[in-house]
Amino acid sequence: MNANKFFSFNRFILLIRNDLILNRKQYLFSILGVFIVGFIYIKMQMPTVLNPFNFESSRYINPFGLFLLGLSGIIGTSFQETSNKISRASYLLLPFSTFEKYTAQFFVRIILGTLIFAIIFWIDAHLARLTTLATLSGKLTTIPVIEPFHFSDLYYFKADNTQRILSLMTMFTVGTGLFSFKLFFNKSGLVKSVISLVGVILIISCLMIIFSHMFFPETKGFDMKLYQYNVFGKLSNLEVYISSLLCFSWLFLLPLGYYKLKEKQI
Amino acid sequence: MIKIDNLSFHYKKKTALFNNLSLDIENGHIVGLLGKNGAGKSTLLNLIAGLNQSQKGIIHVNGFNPIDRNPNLLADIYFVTEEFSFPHVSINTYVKAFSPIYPSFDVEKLKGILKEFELDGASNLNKLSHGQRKKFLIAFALASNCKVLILDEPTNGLDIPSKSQFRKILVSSVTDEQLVLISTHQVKDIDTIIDKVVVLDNGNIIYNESIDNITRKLYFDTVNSLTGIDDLLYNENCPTGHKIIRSVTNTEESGIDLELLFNAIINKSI
Repeated sequence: MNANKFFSFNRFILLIRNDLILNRKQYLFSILGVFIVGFIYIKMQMPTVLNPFNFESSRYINPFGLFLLGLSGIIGTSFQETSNKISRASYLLLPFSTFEKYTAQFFVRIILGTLIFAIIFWIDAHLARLTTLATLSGKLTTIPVIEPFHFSDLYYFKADNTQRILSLMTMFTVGTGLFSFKLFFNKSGLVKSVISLVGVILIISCLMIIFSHMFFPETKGFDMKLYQYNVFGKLSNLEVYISSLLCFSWLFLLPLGYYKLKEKQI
Repeated sequence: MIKIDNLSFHYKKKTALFNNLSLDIENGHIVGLLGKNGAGKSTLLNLIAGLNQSQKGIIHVNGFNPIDRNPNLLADIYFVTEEFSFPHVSINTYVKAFSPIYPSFDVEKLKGILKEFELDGASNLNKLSHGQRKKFLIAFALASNCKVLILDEPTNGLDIPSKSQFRKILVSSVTDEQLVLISTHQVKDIDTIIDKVVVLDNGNIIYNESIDNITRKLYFDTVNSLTGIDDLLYNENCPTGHKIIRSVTNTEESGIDLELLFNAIINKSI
């Protein structure tokens, strides 16, 4: 295989440059918007003169969830060029390989996006803490404790390593789903993806109900009866099944998205 | 060069648009691809550009299969589609973003063409009229110096002076190494610039001749009366009498009336 037709670092840089030149205003406004909204939201969670409570580091988790929601929105804008016939034609004709187009969007939306959101959150959290402390000092005799934000606090809120890894991989799966859903359908990718997902869940549920009636004749109506047993010591087979779906779907979604982009026509 | 062998294509759940279509076009030509509405001109261009995949047959553009979307081919092919959209940026920003991705792009050439088209680099692309945006796209395509230029209805939306400018700029910009494929149903807009005519009808190439060959074989004229014209091939009434096509009898040569020729081909008189 000729590597140059598959991936060229120079072309990849040109594509990133092209994206940043064309979308710089949207990106800057998004960063500014996230910074301001994030700061206001975190500050609203912190103690006030009227409500001077101690702010533990675990309280950063909710605002961080909001940031993740914002990041999901950004990731969901991937491949918006493919949503209509005219812009799709221009995008497909850009002289870059499909792999370069795919990885460039992944790099900008997922890698760079996550990094920038994390940095903004860190700045917002510290800025909110410092401004709150400054506001409270002099107005209260006892200044409440506001613990500073550390990313490790997010890591330690889960009970054990397995849960931490599972939650990280689940987030990555959701991210890859949002990243590639526009490629699965030419029009209304989000709506169709949600409908498809609901459809798959319904089909699985129906199968489970049918199997429950077949293998457990005492099952009534729409009940699902599942035979559960422990695997790997502490996880049940059901937990393994759901965790596998949540944690490893990206292995299927990412290559599928790539081939959908490769086979796109107008 | 473009080489098409036994191409068959149909859209989903529709009857075949092309059935065993074959066509060879060498570089160094400006080719007019003519056809009635719905003849499949735009679809053929999409197939050549790799935007659609044929069900059967071979398409090679500069030795590449366009559906593979090899970046080396895409860097050497520029397609001005009939409908287009631009990002919300100025001409200058667009050029800054897109010109480096075409290795042979000539910024000075673009500036010259933009000047002739009276387009200001600071203008926001989405605030220009359709015709102005089309002129910019044509200017960008010509400045890209791609080996294959595909223009789908390039004169649609252009005013009369712009059509004339377009012809002048195209002829002066294109080199012998390039191949320009122009699809249009406004044949009069391109009759002075093309050197080859390809007519598409009912999914087949029904005519494929160079302008030199046409003028060597056919004589175009306007006459008051048809009496006494023995070798008449085709005629149409016009306000001054009859527009006719007849066989060339000796070394005489005439200008070409592309519209008349097209009608004659479609009516199977030639």
